[in-house]
Amino acid sequence: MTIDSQSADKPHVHTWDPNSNSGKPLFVLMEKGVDFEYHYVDIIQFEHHAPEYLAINPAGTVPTLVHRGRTLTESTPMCEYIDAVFPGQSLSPSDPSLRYAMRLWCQRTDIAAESLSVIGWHTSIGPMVRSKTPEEMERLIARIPTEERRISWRHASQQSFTEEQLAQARIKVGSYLRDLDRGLQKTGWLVGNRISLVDLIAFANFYSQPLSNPDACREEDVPHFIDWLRRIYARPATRRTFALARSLGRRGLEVSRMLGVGAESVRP
Amino acid sequence: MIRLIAGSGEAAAFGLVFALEELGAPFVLEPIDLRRFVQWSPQHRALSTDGNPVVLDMDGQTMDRPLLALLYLAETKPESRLLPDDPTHRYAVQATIAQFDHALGGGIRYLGWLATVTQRQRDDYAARLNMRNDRPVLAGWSAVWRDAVSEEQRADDARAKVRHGIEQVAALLSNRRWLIGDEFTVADIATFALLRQLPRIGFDLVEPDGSALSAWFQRVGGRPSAQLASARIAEVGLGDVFDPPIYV
Repeated sequence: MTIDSQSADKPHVHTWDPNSNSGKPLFVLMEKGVDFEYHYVDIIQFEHHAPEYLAINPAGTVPTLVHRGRTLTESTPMCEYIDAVFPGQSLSPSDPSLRYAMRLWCQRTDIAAESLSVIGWHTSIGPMVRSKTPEEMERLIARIPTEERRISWRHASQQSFTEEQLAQARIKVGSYLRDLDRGLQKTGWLVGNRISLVDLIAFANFYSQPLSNPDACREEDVPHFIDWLRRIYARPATRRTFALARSLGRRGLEVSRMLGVGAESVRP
Repeated sequence: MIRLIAGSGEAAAFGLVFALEELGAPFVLEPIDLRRFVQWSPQHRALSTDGNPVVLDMDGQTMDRPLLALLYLAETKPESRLLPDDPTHRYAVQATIAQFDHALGGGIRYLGWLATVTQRQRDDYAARLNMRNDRPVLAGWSAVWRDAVSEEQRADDARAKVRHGIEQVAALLSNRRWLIGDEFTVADIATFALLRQLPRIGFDLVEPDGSALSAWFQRVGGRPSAQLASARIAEVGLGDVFDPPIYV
């Protein structure tokens, strides 16, 4: 698909599951009620490094948003763009101090998500891609645009994370979840007194923690975090977003049930 | 009162001084001595719990993420047009700042640290950092990559990122006067603040005279606010060292 063919007013999102960076624009578009085209990019099959995808986003990262002939590839500013150009409830505070606070939480979330990604690769994505032969894997890795990411993916695909790397990643995630819990204590939302972009961005990254990291998610330890998860899971837009899942994002439905958020809580 | 606390004249501090001068906002520039590890003192950590050396204090509201503070300053004075109203341009400003800071800025900071600090000072810094109970530890993909390469490879990679970053800036400027849209924005400020450090890490500042990049660099550096920023930084004795890395 070429960029020219996507220059209509309808946004086109090229991304993987509603999970981590891939999920950020999906949750925001759904929350805003925007009609969009979803182009599934299967990162387990390394489709984000295939020539046809690199033609749209030469960096080979997901997500990519194409709208009115423009291509957007930075996931967090992309969410601010979606919020600004499409009608619907604003998901960004207008006060500059609160906007600083929102972006600060986004930055903290992105840093913690880097550790979460390593754990996710170790437990979930790595085993999925390891069914490929070493030759096929090397061919796929060779298409990755930067040396830094080639080295990291090679490690990930060979399951060669050290115990220390995994331990430090777990510490970072645990520390972030406790910060998140404290951050939610006052109003139940991360910034201001209603849902904002950063709630959706943090949720896109950490929605599955009760399932994948139960020790860090005991309700008595992080009650505000668990309550926040329940409230976001109960939103109709969240359930519509998880309905798009084909891979890891399916965990969202499972966690939703674990937290006792059933379909009955969904308003039409 | 606006206070800017900084330990060096590197890009993070220079960009904020430049922006404050551009906005005509009166402020006090307060240097701290990184060689005495003032950034880890209780007084400083009351302003920045992480001990980040650059802190913008706006009447008691402290901000220790310089690039986010740059966006904040632009948004407090929308009439300055340092952050465009148009969402596409606004996205481009934020994306450009983030991308250049990650690759070009990361390379410059690492090479700057190696070039301006002796091995003994680096060892001293690492030892002091390791004594901290709450020592920040690198984790995630950055740690995986760091553990996989030698220091020499890391420096080579930093040089490659700087070269590539310069090419990217030059490409953006090939057909326009400013980095984003038709107006001077915080993307120009942040990128200029990075590129002005290139001579100190052994890179030619810009392409031969007459190139679009060279003309842009002269244009931005020639603004009265940029010149005032340089003078303010020099006046308080900042600029001899690079901020130390958070992780060693």
